[in-house]
Amino acid sequence: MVTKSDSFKGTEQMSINSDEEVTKLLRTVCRPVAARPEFKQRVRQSLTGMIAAAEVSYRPLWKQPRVWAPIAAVIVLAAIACGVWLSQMATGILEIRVTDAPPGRNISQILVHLTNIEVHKAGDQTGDAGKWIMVIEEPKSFDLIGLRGVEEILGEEELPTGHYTQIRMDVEIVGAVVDGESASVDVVLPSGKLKFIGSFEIGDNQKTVLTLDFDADASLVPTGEGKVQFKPVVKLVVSPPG
Amino acid sequence: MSGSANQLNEAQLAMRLRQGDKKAVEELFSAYFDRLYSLIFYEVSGDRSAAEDIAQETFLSALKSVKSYRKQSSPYTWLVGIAHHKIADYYRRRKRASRRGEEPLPSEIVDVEQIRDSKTAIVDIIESAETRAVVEQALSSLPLDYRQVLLLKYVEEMSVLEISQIMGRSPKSVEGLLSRARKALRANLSTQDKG
Repeated sequence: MVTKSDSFKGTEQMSINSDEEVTKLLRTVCRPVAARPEFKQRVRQSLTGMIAAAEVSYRPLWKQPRVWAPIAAVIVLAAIACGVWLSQMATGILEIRVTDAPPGRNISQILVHLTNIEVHKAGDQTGDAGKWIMVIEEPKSFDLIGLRGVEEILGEEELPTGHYTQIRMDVEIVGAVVDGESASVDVVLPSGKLKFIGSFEIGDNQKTVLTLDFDADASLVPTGEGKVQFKPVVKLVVSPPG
Repeated sequence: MSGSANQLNEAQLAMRLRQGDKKAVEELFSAYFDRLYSLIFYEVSGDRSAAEDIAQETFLSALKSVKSYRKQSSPYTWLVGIAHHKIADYYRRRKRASRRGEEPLPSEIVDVEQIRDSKTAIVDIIESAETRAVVEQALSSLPLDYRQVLLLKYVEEMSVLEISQIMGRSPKSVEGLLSRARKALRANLSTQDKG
C-alpha cells in the first residue's frame, strides 16, 4: 500500500486532460517489463514440444503400452477423484444444417453467402459467464432453391456441454433470380448480422442438430424497379441430443 | 512494436495462422512475447506470478486454437484477445476464492466525482519513484476494463477499432469507456493525493 509523503505533493498538480498527457503519464509509468529469462525459455520449450508432438506420426495407442498404461491410470484416478469436474468439462457435437421451404412465387435462385456462425452458451451455476463460441468460420455459399426438400450440412463443431440460447451469423446474399430475371438484391440486416433466439442443449458425447429453415418466399421482398430486399426469415429446427 | 516484430511479415504470418500452421505460433512467440508479457503484467497490476501464468496460457491456447484465428484482426490483436479472456478468468477465480475467504480482493472503488482540474506538466513530476508508485497505485485501483482500455490506447497505441476487436465492443462504446477511464484515473490520483 502506498503511503503519503512529501514527494507526493506533485500529484495534486497533475493534469491528464489531453490524450498526449495521458500517453506521457502512462508510457512513463508503464515502461516495458521483461519476463524472467528462464520462464520465457520454459514457455518456448513447451510450445516447441507441443508442436513437435503434433508432428510425430500417429501410432495406435494400444501398440504403445508405455504410453497408454500411465495415461489409463491417470484417467481412472482422475475420473474417480474429479467426477463432477469431468462432467463439467464434457463436450458434445453440434451439427448445423440448412434447408429451404418451397417458395410461392417464381423464384429460381437465391444464392446466399454466410461468412460465419456463432452460438451463445448460457452462464451456469459454476460461475462461468455466458459466451459466444464460433461454430463455423469458413465462408459458405448455397442456393436456397436448390435445397428444397433437402438439407445441406454446413458443418459441425465440438462444444462444451450445456445450455445454449442464441445463434447469430454474418449473412449476405449475392444473387437472386425472380420471375426469370436476375434481380438486384439488398440485404436488410440492421447490424449486419442475423441473430435469433433459439434454445438448445449440447449433451455429453451426443450430437445435436440445428437446421436453419429459410423461408425463401417470405425472405424476398420486391421493392420495384427490379430490386428485391432480402429480409431473412429463418426457422430454427432443433433435434435434441441423441 | 519490437524490432523483431517489425521485421516480421505480418500478412504472411496471418495467412499461415489462418491455414492452421502451428509453427506460426512459434514465430508469434518470438515476435510478441515480450510485448504481450509487459501488457499482461500491468493489466494484472504488477502481479508477476499471475502475469507469467497468463502469458504461458495465452500462447498454449493460441497453439491449440490456431484455426480460430480470424482475418479481421492482426496476429498481435488476436493474441491480446486471448490474453484478455485468460485475465478475465483469473479475476473470476480470484473473486470466487475471495468469496470463500481465501484471498482478499483488490479495491476497485472509483469515485468519478472527485476530479480536479489541474494544469501542471506531468513528466517532470513522475520522475520521482514515489510519485510513480502513486500513479501505479491509481492505475491498479481502476476496474479491469478501465485499466485495459487505457493501456491498449496509450501504452500499446492501438486504434479504437483494434481495441473494439479485442474487447468485443463497438468503437463508440470503446470511446465512451476511454472517456470514463480517464476520468476515473484522474479521480484516483486526486483521491490518493488527499489520503
